[in-house]
Amino acid sequence: MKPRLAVFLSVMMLLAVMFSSVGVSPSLAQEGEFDWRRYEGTTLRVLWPNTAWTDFILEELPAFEELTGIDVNMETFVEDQLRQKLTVELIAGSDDIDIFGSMTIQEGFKYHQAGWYTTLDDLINDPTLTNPDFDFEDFSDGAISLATVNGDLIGIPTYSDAQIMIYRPSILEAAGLEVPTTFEETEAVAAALNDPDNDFYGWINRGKGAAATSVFSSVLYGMGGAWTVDGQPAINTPEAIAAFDWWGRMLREYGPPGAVNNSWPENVQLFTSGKGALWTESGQAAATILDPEQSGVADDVSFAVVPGGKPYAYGWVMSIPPNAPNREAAWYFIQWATSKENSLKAKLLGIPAPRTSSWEDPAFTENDPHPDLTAAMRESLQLAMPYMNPHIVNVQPWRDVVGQVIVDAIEGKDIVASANAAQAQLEELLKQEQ
Amino acid sequence: MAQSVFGRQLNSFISARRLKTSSLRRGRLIASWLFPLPAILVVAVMLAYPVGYTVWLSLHDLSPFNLENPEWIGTENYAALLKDTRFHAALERTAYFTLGALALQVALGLGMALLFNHNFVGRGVVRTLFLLPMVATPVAMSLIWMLILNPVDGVANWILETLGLPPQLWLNSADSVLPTLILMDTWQWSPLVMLMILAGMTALPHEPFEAAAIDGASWWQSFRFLMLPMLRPTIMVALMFRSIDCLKTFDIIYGTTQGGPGFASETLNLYIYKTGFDYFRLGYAAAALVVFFTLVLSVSLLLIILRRRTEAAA
Repeated sequence: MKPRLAVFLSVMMLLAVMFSSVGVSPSLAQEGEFDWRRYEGTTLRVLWPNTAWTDFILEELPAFEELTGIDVNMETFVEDQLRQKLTVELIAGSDDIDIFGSMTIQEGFKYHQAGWYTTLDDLINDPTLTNPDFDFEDFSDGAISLATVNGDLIGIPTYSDAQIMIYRPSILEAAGLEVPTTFEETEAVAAALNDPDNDFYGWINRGKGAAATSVFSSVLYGMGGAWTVDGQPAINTPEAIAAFDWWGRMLREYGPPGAVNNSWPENVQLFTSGKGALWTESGQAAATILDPEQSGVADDVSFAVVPGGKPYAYGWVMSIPPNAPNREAAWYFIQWATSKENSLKAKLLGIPAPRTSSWEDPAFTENDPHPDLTAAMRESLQLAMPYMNPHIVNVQPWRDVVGQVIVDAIEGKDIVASANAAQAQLEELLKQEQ
Repeated sequence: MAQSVFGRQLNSFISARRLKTSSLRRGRLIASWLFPLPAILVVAVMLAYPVGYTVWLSLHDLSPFNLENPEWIGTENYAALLKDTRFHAALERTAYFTLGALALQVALGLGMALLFNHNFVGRGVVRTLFLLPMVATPVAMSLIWMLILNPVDGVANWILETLGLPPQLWLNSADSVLPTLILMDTWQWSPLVMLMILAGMTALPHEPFEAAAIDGASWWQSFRFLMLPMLRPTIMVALMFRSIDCLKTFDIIYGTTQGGPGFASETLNLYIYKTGFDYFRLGYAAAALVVFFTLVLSVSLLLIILRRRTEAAA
């Protein structure tokens, strides 16, 4: 904008404010009402993954456009496609993305290093840009940790999910078994319920290489292991070997045949068609399993904390890239999308909310159709740890290499040899990173 | 070659018009450059430039973080490839897949061609049915095969069990995934080999076979000592087509296992795809691609030389 034009507009705006406060009702100045229409006429471009939350927010979108006069073009993609598209566009220095989604636990360090995030503190702390009802403090610590990379707040979490255990209560009850909490108990229950001759399996879980590393992390950490120790890979420690061994044995002995190719789509198919007793997945899975249209076990399913008590946490975060054309208007959209009101509405649909208020609101607590799910989710979110992936830049090759050990473990091959080979490859990977 | 053909055509065209010799020569000169120009441009843009750029990339360290100024690292990427165990394993798998698929497809293609070389009732219908796999979309076909081969509730294991055979893990085991993929590729592409060999068979002269029959040669003898040697050039062409395709197979592997379980079906193409588009190590992927390109090129050259030899011998 030309300086002279800017001065002219400022003066006009000042005059307008003065006249309005002198004139009829002094609504703006006195009540301090937030000016939602400040960026009227702007169009935002948002690149975002397909999730249950996405469906929800797309439904609500017209309300935002009416409130602010800002148009929102939300382009949604399957996760991996989004990652590829974003990487290509951000590498090319694209200057027409206003908001993008990322899962910090997957790509946060890479994007941070590449300089594709901006910190949002300046926007949150600016009372002219942030609605006083926004209440940043309302976000749980766990949720904020999902939006923080190397100490920088790089976005706002849209939902915060944790891994939970899903089980079939009637089947456990019929066998006189308690819901397992330790790894030994889980194995005993899986062994007791496993009935492969009738296509029923004690344990359903991911075995498909890289896709299995996230769910496997709860066993690794639950057994006292870690992805890295002192910045070095720790894949062949005794704890890690024990974790691979347990994961492999569970799927080999009490899982469906060929579990090495099973990931979310295969497992949801198996479990909802009543072929599994125990399963650990992201809490979002509940929405599918509890939907009678998609699930044959919707009326016979319950939820608990994962064995070992170290579930992972994750969530999609909304960020603004450095050369976003409409940074302030983008912030308007983010604070609206993650507002208390929208967080509660999403919660009522079964999407785990990042805000404490949504979990405690009577609108939710008094109408909660699945208190068992809520209890399991709340406890899991408390326990959850941000180690679904190691805190490194090149997460994808890391997952592929660890995935090979998981496959070897399931197929009953030499785990120690496999873990040692993976350790060497990962050391090389981290050396390249430095 | 294209040059001289076009030149000659123009030549006859112009001489038919009885123009002066000098303008005729000039016209021929211009034409010999002008007419092939579109083809040369297409080749330059579509082939030479990408290959040249890939080679240039392979000598740099290029990632999302230094896109503006890729670092010249000489042959470091190639040196790293020599030590890359995942690359070596992918190379071995590519060879295994190619050899396995070629052997099966040529054997089956030849067998089917022999079958359809005979006249029998309904030959046209059966031959059309046999050609159907060839027109299937590889990705759609992959999805169907995954349903068939599903170890829990797939049709394949149900058939095996009905026949009293033990169920298999097919794509869901590191040990059986490559053989299964070879079978899938064979199912789809044997008909092509059959078609090519059948075309070769119909073109063979009848006399030698009649002579052999008069001399009392058995079916096997006339096949082994007459038909097979005469078909060798055709088989070599089929081998060349299929070997290039097998070496760079991507769709059915990506469509079913994405290189899994673990790395068990990660062939060179899959590994390069991951390195480039998942890990964004663009320079390194380019180096692997150059090695791969050289490999495909040498295999096809080898087959061309072998074919020339067999032709010369025949």
